[in-house]
Amino acid sequence: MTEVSPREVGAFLRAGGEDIFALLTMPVGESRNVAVVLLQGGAWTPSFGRGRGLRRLAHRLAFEGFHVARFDYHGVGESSGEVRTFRLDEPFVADLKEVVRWLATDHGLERVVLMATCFGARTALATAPEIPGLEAVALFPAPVRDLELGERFSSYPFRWYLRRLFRARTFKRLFNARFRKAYRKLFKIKARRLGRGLRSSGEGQASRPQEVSRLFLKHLKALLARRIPIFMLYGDADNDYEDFARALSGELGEVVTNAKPQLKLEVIEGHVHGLTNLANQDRVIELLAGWVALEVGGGKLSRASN
Amino acid sequence: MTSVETVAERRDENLGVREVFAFVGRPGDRIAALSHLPMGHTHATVLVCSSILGDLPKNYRREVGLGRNLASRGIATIRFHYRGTGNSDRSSAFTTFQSMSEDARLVVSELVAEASVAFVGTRLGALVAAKAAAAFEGAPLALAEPVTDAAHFYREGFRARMMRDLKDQVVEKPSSERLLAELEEKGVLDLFGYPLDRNLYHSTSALTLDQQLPSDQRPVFLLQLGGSEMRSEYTRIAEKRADRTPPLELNLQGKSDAWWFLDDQQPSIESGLEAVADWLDRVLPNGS
Repeated sequence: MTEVSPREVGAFLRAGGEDIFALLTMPVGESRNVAVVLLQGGAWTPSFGRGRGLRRLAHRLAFEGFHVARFDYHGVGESSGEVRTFRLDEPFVADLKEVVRWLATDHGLERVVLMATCFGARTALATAPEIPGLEAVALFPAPVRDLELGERFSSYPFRWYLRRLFRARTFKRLFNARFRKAYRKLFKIKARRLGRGLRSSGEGQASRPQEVSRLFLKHLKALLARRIPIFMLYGDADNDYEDFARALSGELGEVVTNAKPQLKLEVIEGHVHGLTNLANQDRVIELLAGWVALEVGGGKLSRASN
Repeated sequence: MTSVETVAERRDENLGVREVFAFVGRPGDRIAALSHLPMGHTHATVLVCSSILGDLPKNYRREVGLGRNLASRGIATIRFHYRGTGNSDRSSAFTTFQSMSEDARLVVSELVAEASVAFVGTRLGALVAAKAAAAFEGAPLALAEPVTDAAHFYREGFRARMMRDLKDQVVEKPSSERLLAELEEKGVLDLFGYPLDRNLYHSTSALTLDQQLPSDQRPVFLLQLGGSEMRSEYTRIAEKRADRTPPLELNLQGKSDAWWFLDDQQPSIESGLEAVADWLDRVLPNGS
């Protein structure tokens, strides 16, 4: 027996000189005439997502009456082009803008909701000012610092390492040659970075990596100024959450506090970043479906949740 | 009669390649398939059978690159997502070795127009490709980093999961037995956000490449990624086919992968599969 599956249409869209592969899942039943765009993180996973998490989210929302678009960034999945790394301070704005244009011109969908994870969250925030019909944004999770893929561990401030140095496990590892080698390498990276920081106080250099990205703050404030509802979802085990929680002691804390209830913040147990476990994939899908129904659909969840 | 619905299409004038994303089959039961088609004369078609779970995104761009490379040489290439995976319909509980083999057969019957066909299998997909190739007498078969023993493939996945469990301190003594018990009890095992379903595990875990390889005379190519010398599991397979004409060709390229983890760098076709494209170009009739 076959299952009920929403209809899907697609296109290769020209953006930044490359062809971007996009799939649009059509609503099942009555349409809300709202397009939800799902944005993947920056780890070369195609638009169906790890364990098909994003495909399942797309189908879940289609049963709630939403059109749902997914796409492969240039250099990823079926799209053309090459991408060597993903930098959070260089999001793929052109890719997302083209998908939004396609939804409006080819499908008549002017009202847009963005749901995005990690690198996608930063792409969503950076592109938001150029989406006039933007109705809501969900970030699951949003990295608040400007890091390149694989750069996180070496990016922590010295006090972070100092705290860890006095842990029993770290101390024990000093007797292991492999860990000593890793620590030496890390120390060299930190020393180099510190040297660069002392030599330069220029705008570009100083923007990364710090406690909270100026770009992130700027984009977040711009969304809040437009009165657009924002949902920030973290897992308490996410490195991104550790960064976010640390940054709350600064300007970000003030922004987040003053933004309630327009900004909804939720922290669940375990990892959200990368959707690396099935239980939290399901949890995230339900939380996002519930939130978007509330913000855009008047709070009513339909068939799928009954 | 199965239907084919074209969803998206692009042309790459530089490569001389047209790409078509289509759904094969009825709604609710569709197979997502991507064809890389030469703009000029097509003299053969290659079907790529991908691996599953975490291997799928890991190898994805390599396989896209292989398709584009082959199509630019006049060889059409078709990649597809097994039902229950990727953009195809059905839930992961549907996927079994039988369904994967049936998907390969369906895609060939619906999308392959040329008489000359070859098969490529990567990792666990090698078992599917070998089985699919058996129905086509003499069809060339290329195996990229093939899994020779599916039970070993899963053991590697279990080990990776146990490492994470240890790191996250979710269990005191992780073991394969405990994970297998979880699979039996819940019907699905979480391998880093990829669902390993009981049906898939039971239908594949006893399979070996040796069983699936067609016993007839045909060109077979086996690519190992990384290492300083060919692994014994691969040389043994080559030795068993030593009396065939042509003998199985072994090749060692690129660097090895940590299959169950995503790297910071995306592998490209240069990291191995170009050797597969060169070999297929050599053994397939050029049609001119």
